[in-house]
Amino acid sequence: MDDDLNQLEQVLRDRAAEVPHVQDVPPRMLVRARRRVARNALASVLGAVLIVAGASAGLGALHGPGGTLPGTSGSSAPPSTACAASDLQGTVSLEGAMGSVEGSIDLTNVGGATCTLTGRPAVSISDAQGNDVRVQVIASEPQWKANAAPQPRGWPVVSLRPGSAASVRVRWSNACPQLSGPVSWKIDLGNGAGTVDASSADASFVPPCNGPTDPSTLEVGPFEPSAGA
Amino acid sequence: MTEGEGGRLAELYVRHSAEATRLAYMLTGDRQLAEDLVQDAFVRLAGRLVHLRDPGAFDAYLRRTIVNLANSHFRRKRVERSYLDRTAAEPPRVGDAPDTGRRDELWHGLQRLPVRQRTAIVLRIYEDLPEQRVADILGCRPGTVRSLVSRGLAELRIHVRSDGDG
Repeated sequence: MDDDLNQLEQVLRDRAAEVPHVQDVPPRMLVRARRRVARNALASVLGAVLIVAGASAGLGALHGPGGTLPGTSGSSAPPSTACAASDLQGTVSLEGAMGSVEGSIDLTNVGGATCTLTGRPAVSISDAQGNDVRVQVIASEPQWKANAAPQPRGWPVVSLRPGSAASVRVRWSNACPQLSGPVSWKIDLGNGAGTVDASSADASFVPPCNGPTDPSTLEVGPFEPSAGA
Repeated sequence: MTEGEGGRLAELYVRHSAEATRLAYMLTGDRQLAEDLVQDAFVRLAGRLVHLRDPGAFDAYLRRTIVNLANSHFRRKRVERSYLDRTAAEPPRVGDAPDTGRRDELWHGLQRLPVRQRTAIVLRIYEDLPEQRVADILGCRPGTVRSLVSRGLAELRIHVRSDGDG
């Protein structure tokens, strides 16, 4: 049965390979999405009107003679500034794993003020000639979740004081044809915040080519506080 | 939807649509249908992006949405039977490689399985998800996932053998 399972798995991988790695965003999908969000927003506004009406009535009752309502003002969070690429210094730390290389990209705040990182960066790799290495990016869970550790305070927002670092978990597999290194990593922070070049002695670490017909995969986790920070 | 939200949806599509289309293709056996299901899934998720505080959870949301849409497609359209009849009538493609015929039989056999068995097999074998995660997606117990996979594989072997005999 093991043979059957292996063969079935191979069949599925072969069929998966028929689907192109990168797909253009269909304009029609965006139009449909906008319509749907507009419908939802209208429903939310109607719901909010009902809730506000109900809350006003309740507050009116609480603020009646002798009524107090502590702690309802000044509770809004202080504004935070998103980190710009120029605030950050990137380092890649990788080690070989079974058929892949894995580790983290650490981004240290070298600016003078606290800033925040949220979400998952777009990570790309280029070879020694500066050509993009084609990888299929797979979103993976953060290291703290993989370790079944408690959720870091404030996550998914990672707040970086000057000198502290955020980490992005990465695992890269099956680079074909075999790369001889060195490679360089680029981390696009998203939302127009810019791109950080990350390098280190380990940046020449590349995974083996295990399946020439299979895609090279790059698992990328979201920003999280660096374990060493 | 603001321009920023539209941009975020487009960015998520670029990152996740290929993998989502592969999953939908495994579940439906039909590339065009798979692409349609993936677009439907993104349209659905567009309305929830604001509430999706954990960006790392997007792929899990997307996977669950694809599975649900594939299931409801087969249920709503009642096409499973006609689709099965159609694929059963297709002669297996035979290529140059000696194993190609058997591989096609496995693929067509998989598409002939009941949708829950097929989904359990694809999530366990192709997506390599643990039983508990598959159980969460299918809304059943891990033991049921084990049984769906094992019965599906047994049926698949029968399909392939009988095709091979015939």
